[in-house]
Amino acid sequence: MAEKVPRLVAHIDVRQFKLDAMDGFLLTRIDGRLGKRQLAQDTGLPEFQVEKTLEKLERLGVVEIVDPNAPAAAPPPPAAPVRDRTQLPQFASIGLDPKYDPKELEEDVELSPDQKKRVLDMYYRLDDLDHYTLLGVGKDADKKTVKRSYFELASLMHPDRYFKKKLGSFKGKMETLFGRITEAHDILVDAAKRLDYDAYLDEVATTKGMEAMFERALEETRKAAEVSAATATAAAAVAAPAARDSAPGVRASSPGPVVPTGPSAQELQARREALAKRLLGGQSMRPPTAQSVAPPSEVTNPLRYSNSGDAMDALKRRYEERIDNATANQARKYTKLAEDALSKNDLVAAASSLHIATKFAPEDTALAMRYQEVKNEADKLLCDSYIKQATYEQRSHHWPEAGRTWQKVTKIRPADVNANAQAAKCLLKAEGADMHQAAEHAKTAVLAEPSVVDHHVVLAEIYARAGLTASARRAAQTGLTLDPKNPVLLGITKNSAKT
Amino acid sequence: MEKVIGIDLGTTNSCVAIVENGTPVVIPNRGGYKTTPSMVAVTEAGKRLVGHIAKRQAITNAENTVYAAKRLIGRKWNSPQVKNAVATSSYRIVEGPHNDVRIVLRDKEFSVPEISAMVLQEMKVIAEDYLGETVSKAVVTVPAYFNDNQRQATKDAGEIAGLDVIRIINEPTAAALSYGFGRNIEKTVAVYDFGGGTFDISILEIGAHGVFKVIATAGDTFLGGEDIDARIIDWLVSGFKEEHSIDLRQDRMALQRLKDAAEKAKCELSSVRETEVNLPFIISSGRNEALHLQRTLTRQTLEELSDDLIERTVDICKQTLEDAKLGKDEIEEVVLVGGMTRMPKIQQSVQGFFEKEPNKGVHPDEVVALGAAIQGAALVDDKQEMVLLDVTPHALGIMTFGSYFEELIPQNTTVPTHRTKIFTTSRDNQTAVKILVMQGESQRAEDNELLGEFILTGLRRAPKGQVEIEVTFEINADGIVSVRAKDLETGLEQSIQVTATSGLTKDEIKSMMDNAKDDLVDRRTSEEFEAAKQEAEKLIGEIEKLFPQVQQIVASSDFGRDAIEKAKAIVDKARAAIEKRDAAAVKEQIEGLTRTHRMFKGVVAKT
Repeated sequence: MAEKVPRLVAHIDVRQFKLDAMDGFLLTRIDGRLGKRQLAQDTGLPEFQVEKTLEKLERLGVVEIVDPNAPAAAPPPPAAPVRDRTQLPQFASIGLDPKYDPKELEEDVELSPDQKKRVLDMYYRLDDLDHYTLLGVGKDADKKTVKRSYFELASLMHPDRYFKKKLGSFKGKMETLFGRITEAHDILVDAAKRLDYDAYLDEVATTKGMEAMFERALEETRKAAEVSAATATAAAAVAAPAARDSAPGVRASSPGPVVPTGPSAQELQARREALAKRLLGGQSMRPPTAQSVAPPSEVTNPLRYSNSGDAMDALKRRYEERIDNATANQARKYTKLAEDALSKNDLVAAASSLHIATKFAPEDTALAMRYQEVKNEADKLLCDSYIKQATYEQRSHHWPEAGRTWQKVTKIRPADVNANAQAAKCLLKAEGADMHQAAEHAKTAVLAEPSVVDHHVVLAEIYARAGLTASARRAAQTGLTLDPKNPVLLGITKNSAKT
Repeated sequence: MEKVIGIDLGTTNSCVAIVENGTPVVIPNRGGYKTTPSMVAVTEAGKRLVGHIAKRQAITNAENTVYAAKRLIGRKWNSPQVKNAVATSSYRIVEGPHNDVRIVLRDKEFSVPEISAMVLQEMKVIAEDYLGETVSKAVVTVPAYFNDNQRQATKDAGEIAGLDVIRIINEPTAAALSYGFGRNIEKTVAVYDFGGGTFDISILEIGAHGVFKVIATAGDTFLGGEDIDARIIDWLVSGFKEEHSIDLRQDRMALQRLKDAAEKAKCELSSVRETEVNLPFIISSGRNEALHLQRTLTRQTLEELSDDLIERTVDICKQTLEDAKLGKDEIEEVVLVGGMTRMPKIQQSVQGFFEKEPNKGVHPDEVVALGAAIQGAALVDDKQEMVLLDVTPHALGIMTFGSYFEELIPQNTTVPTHRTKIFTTSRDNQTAVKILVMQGESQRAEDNELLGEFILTGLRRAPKGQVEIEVTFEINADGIVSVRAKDLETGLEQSIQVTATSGLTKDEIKSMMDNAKDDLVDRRTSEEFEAAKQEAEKLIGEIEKLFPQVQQIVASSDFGRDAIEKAKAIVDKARAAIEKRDAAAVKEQIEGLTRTHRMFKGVVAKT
């Protein structure tokens, strides 16, 4: 029987699951044909990592492990594949590690252990759950399904179910949970509100997907460097069959594909020595004094064997050629991927593919320019999305979130004055926000537009909130040179003078 | 597990129910009626009367008989509704010490919660008699549109009556609970509740797991059967005035008789097409000649007299559906509650609006109390799988600069809930803000009900608009509102738990509670005394009947004479005890009387 392979579960919306970039990346490579090991090769991830991720995906029900020769997935079920209601109460704890301190379970309250777990599990995951996941329904769930799920959860979480019972810290948590599920229900059953919310979620998903993609690009770039190195070693290894022509009967050990985690340095060393011996007619190429294992950096330097003459030169040429070919192939492959993505209007995927391609072909200026061009487009798209998101968050007074989203804009466009100013303002309003970061953004804004009093005001306020009175005073004074009567700045100057 | 009774404290009638072995039942009063008039009276002798007895003597004691006290509960003296009641009530309404309302009965002032407490106490006693045990917990219903002050006043009334009101729920919601209880249905239901004093409409969703979710609720606390009665009275009074040039309103006793007649005529017209209002000797003319009132009222006239009121209820229904974002076709069932829904015109109007025949499966007078009992049982009994997700009937918010009302928690928000908004200072160098917590729907703060206030001080001196204050409103499952204000710059915080005011202080409630208890003890002993007195008097009568015979038989013996003296002494003692209305003493004498009676009977039998 063939090795079992992972396959995507049919008709599933992966967005409803809480996945990280690694999961997302692996998911893009799962095609129902590749096995575990092949996936590891394809992604360049260590096998154990692939294994762990696959396990998680299987547990979540995103992928299934099947026989590759088995018939394709069953036809889609007639109705939307909504989670079985009876499973609902457990949904928040699906195979994920508990996020709460197990000690909290020990609190002496009149609740069943199951209810305690459920409350804690949901409570500490609230930030990660969108309205759909919170209610345990699919994105396409109709009003009735939403209501049913809500009613079920409400009957578990409404404080009246535990009237006059000793609930301790659970009371507040359950009230919060009830509030959140009610909010989720109220939005999802109201067509207009749901549309608005979906749009928001889409922005979040797009940006999240983009973030994952960028992370992936970064990962692949790093890997590209590794691959070139590995290709180098591999090329050296497969150089053996090339030499076989002149020395029949000797077979290379492994004709397999390029493996990132190639043979160990010692192995290589041994092989090379054996090769050199054959080429040099049984003479050891090594000076007898160099018996100890050389440091790896020297070992991988083929020039070290220049004393092996023409044969060695040929080997080197073949090797370099091979690397060139490999990298050129890679560059071509990723450029092609980028063009495919572009044709599908997926700017972000295109940008990340091009980014990788440029790493394989650093001299190709045309490619570099193309990358810049596409990247600018993609950045613009991402920024627009972030800005929309931040605006929604600002409108709903979610200051910490808005601050973070504006910060993301500044990461892409570090010089964007508006984004910096907005990030500073939102962070100033957000409880527990990092005032140092806020100050950095405010400073950027001040530097870019020194004549805008408002920037000085925000900076001074941030300093004041951070307790940096001297800095606050200085910022305020600078601002006052522009607007000597600015009441806020005067107030801050006065306050900081007092202390 | 302690029993919780459900009480529908109505404007005109009240009803009490309990869940027994999983089935909600209405408890009849001693007269066998399932509802008890919400009427309280004080007799000339200072005796308090509640319920049917109070209603029966209302005509002869109109000035000291309170009806529809619910219309005044939790209201401020200067509210238009109170002004209206002052003008139309046959009892005296005066201003109380906290801008509240007091009712004068036999020169004694009673607060409105005290009057309602008498009715609640009556309901409590009815339940206790039925159950044979004391009851101390209750769920009491109020009109959905009651504000927090009115709810608090109702709670206070419960406390005065010696009841722990574990929850106040809305009447239409209670009706829906009763309608959907144990039926395992999933439906969207409209409850049209037109009672004696108030009109309410609620839209609920009944779902799996015994969940009842209120989607929207609205109403008018001054629109009820009483208003239709008032229209009939107007019609009778003006007709009489045309005929005799006498204003019957000037005579409180005539007014009370008109009220009774109007209500009776209204009820009759639900089943017949016309009825005669016949009030002989209603008043004396200037020449000391008795005048009679006699007029025929047709159903059509009644409908004409009340059509605008009915139209108003339909308009509120329309508004509520809009608030709930529901179409008429999404309402799967319409439940009619309240005595007024017996009126054919109202049934037609409701059917016309919802385009659906209303459900007639529930008893309009009993369904609310049954629902209250169901909610009570659900709260204390873990086995009952039922949860009511109620909403705030009014928006909650604070007063902002320029006397505007800024809403934080909108109307029809499911509780428990909490909301936060950021406000700024309105004046330069303002160091303190006063947070006025209000309830209502008007954008103008003064039109809304003030629930409480507090001050947040220590703000940084800054130009207006610069200091940001975060205000958080929270309503817990018990309906208790807490408000917190936080200076975002300094982190300084102030908060209050809003306790709505019924117009009574804690001390006042305490003393009223004691009085009510005294009154209950009083009443209980008097019942005991009456029973002993009857028994003693019966024995005395029999003994006295036998006296001549016994005297004749035993006259010859010293022993016999002695026995006769002793018997006479016992009878005298018993009489004295009855005279003193001393129940214990009378009971003591009953034993002696029984013995004497038995002996006398023995003597007579032997001869």
